[in-house]
Formats: sequence, structure tokens, C-alpha cells
Amino acid sequence: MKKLEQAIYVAAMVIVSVLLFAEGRRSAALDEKEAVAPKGLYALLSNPQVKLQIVDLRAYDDDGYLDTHVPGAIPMPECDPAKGPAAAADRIYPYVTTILITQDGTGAALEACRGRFALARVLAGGQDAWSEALLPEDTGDYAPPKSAAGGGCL
Amino acid sequence: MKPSVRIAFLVIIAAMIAGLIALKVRNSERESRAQPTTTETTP
Repeated sequence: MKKLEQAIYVAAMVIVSVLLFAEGRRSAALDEKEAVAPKGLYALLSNPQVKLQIVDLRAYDDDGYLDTHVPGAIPMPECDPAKGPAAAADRIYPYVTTILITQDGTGAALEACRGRFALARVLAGGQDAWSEALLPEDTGDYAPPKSAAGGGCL
Repeated sequence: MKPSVRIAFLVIIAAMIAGLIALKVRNSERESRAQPTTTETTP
């Protein structure tokens, strides 16, 4: 009788665990569908517990990345690492939560690029919305973080 | 089974069910927000 009771409890825990796992996957799928607002991204970047990479899909030229970009953003023009600086290509990881940036939050490159990452979200409104929100920006060439740096993008 | 063990099991299962319900509600809300509202058109 004792064993039966124990088995019932364990079975209940297993069933609820499976349901929790399924719901977690649904949540991750929703995460991927939802665009992240500029202030939401800023809040994520401010949190050292959150690990993510920002990938900028705009052109690596004076009208695009070099003019202005989100601090810490890794350039990958048109989702092609060969079109960006060599130092950037080595810094892009497929299994890290990724925020994709285009000029206005739309573009064919976004859909093409989503499949490259395990979890990719889009910055709503793109770089334009980030700039309009008056959030910190960087200019110039991509500089990979130094190993001695304390971490954090901002 | 000791009463303390039984209570531990029940507490864990209750917490898991509460978490599951909270996650389900949150996901449902997000899904309804994500779906655009449809308007019925009269012929």
C-alpha cells in the first residue's frame, strides 16, 4: 500500500513535469514570435544574469553599422558572416539567445537569419526605434570584447 | 510512508501544479495578445 501511494505521487510528479516542459516549449516559441521593444532590450542588457547576443544585420558601412549601432552588437550584414569583419564572425554563436537588428525591424534578412539561431528575437522597430528611444549607441568599427573586460554590453 | 514524506510530496506536487497553471495563464494571455483581433464584416 505504501509503495502504491509512493508510486502515485511519483507518477503525478512525472505527469506535471511533462506538462511543465511542454508549456515551457510553448513559452519559448512565443518568445521567438514576440519582438522585443528597445527599452525591453535595454533592460535585458542591464541585467548581468541574462546572456544574449545582439546581431546587427544592417550593412557594415557608413550608413549602417559604422554610423550607429547598439552597444555590443555584432555585425553580420544580410545574415552573411563573410560580409562583416572577420573578428565578428568568430563571435556569433548559434545556441545563444539572439536579438536581430535591422534598420526598421523588418526585412528579408530577418526571416533568413532566424533559422541560424536556436532562439532569435527581433528588435521591434530596429535601429531606428533604438535611436528614437534615446538609448546608448556606439559608432565606428566592431571591436570584440577584451578578455580582461568585466562583462556586460553597456 | 511517514507523514512528513507524504507532506513533502504533496507540497512539491502542489507547487508544480501552481507553476504549471501560472505558466499556462501567462502563455494564453501572450497568445491572445499576439493574435490580431478580427472584425466581423456584414455582407
